[in-house]
Amino acid sequence: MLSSSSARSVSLSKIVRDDPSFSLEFDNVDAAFRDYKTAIAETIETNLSLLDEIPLPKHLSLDEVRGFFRKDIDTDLRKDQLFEKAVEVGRYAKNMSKSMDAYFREIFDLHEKRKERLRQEMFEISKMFISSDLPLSFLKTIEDSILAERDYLDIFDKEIRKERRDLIAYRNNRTKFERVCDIHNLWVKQFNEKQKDVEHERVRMIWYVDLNNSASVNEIFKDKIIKTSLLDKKILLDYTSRLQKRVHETETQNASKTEFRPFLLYEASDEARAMLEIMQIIKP
Amino acid sequence: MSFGQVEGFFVDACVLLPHSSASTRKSCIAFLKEHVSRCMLCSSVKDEAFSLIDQSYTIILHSLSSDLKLFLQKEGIQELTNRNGTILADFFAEQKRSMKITLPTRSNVRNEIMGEIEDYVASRLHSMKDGFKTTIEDFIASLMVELAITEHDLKAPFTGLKTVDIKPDNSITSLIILRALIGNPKDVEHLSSALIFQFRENKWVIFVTIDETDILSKQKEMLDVFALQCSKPEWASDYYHKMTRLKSPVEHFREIKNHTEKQKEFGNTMEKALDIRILS
Repeated sequence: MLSSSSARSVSLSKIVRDDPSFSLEFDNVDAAFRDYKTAIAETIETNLSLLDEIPLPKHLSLDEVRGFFRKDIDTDLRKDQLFEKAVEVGRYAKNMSKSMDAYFREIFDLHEKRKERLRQEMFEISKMFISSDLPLSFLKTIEDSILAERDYLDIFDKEIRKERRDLIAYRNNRTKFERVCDIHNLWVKQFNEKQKDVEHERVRMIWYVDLNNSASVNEIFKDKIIKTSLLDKKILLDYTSRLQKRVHETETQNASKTEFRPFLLYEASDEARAMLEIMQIIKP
Repeated sequence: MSFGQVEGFFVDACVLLPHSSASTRKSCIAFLKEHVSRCMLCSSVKDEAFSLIDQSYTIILHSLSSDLKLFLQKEGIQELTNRNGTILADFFAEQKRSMKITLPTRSNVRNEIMGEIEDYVASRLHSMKDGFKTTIEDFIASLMVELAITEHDLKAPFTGLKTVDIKPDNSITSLIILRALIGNPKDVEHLSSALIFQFRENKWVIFVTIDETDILSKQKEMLDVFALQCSKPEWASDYYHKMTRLKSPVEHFREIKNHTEKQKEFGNTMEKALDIRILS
């Protein structure tokens, strides 16, 4: 069980949670209401579909693993306050004319917490890496995918701040309000699709490595030594390349909405200072 | 006849990276703040910078995730506090004695790199709060996260600028080495890219750098022979205004009276490389 002390934290990228942002609508009087339980059920199904794509080791049966995932993901999501908050903010987004204030009260905080979660995911994947003989490309590609998602959250926050002005101005004008929502939804849809692809590829890769290093269902997502000898190197390489390709697409898309960011301050971080000094030393 | 054909600034990597000198940092930030929309990167500058950032990240990461972890495990260390500095000092002392880094440059490189990693790890260990204990895995993993974020942030200014994909031409790079006596092959590639862009597009560019040793010390030769203006960030906008009053690069070069031998050589090379006429 994940609740045991030896289990990896809920922060490891082990569940596809899908989009961190939401389409805006004037109201949802006639729209289907996605409540918390529905959101959990849908998330579980999305994850089980992804599981079907992973080559499992012979000693694990698909049914057994599916049963474990269903229960484990359900438990994780029910404990996950960030997921609950995301569902709540999604509900506000579906009813923007009435819930705009609540939406803007929560969205930035939700994204800050999501960024903190992403940092935790990087920490967990770093721990997995140092207890393994995995290639550096595994770690690097996953880190890049997480950082691309972090950049997207920054882009989203910057854009929604601009859109907020129009939404407030057109609050009592359905046509104009809906036009702002449509413009928002158009760009967000494109970005979300790419983010979703990245997240799916990332989780698939982590699952493949973890499942094929688990001697039994009880070892799934638990701390353990990861050996590449238990993996098909061709599959690992293929998953890595696929994720790299998705990350590149996402970074290119992010760049289209990214303003120039000046460099870090030299004194601001020990890491920047160490890396810059080493760059000076190795520069031809 | 055309005037005011200035495309903008080709920025060297050093302008986009953090600096220890406050005055350099100030001038770079002021320049970027005012002119970011006119700044460009040639692909060779971006590739070199990213490669150096990646290499430095990998060197530190390898040292932490492999060497340091193995050393601590061998010593039977499970946890670290800010009072365990001597254990880490032993690690770096041993590394300096035995570690073989395959960097085929100066003999002191290995020790210099180790010294930087040592400074970094010492600083991070000493920044831990009194009484706080962490497992070696958590300590190393937290450093790895910060390094990955820093690596990403160091690259950020480069991704925010327009990149011009130019393949440096061998005949032009050779000429820069011979006639401007610039020895650093990477810098020569960047200058060659700027020249190709300037004469192919027939619009002036200003190569902005803080590299006094390799580039700014040859600023006069680069302008006299190759008609490429190099500049420190502080003076870049002054050169920009000066260029707006000049004829376009091709016309300017063509109208030079009595080309020197070096200018003729450059003109001939450029004509062959770009299939344009820049000599009368």
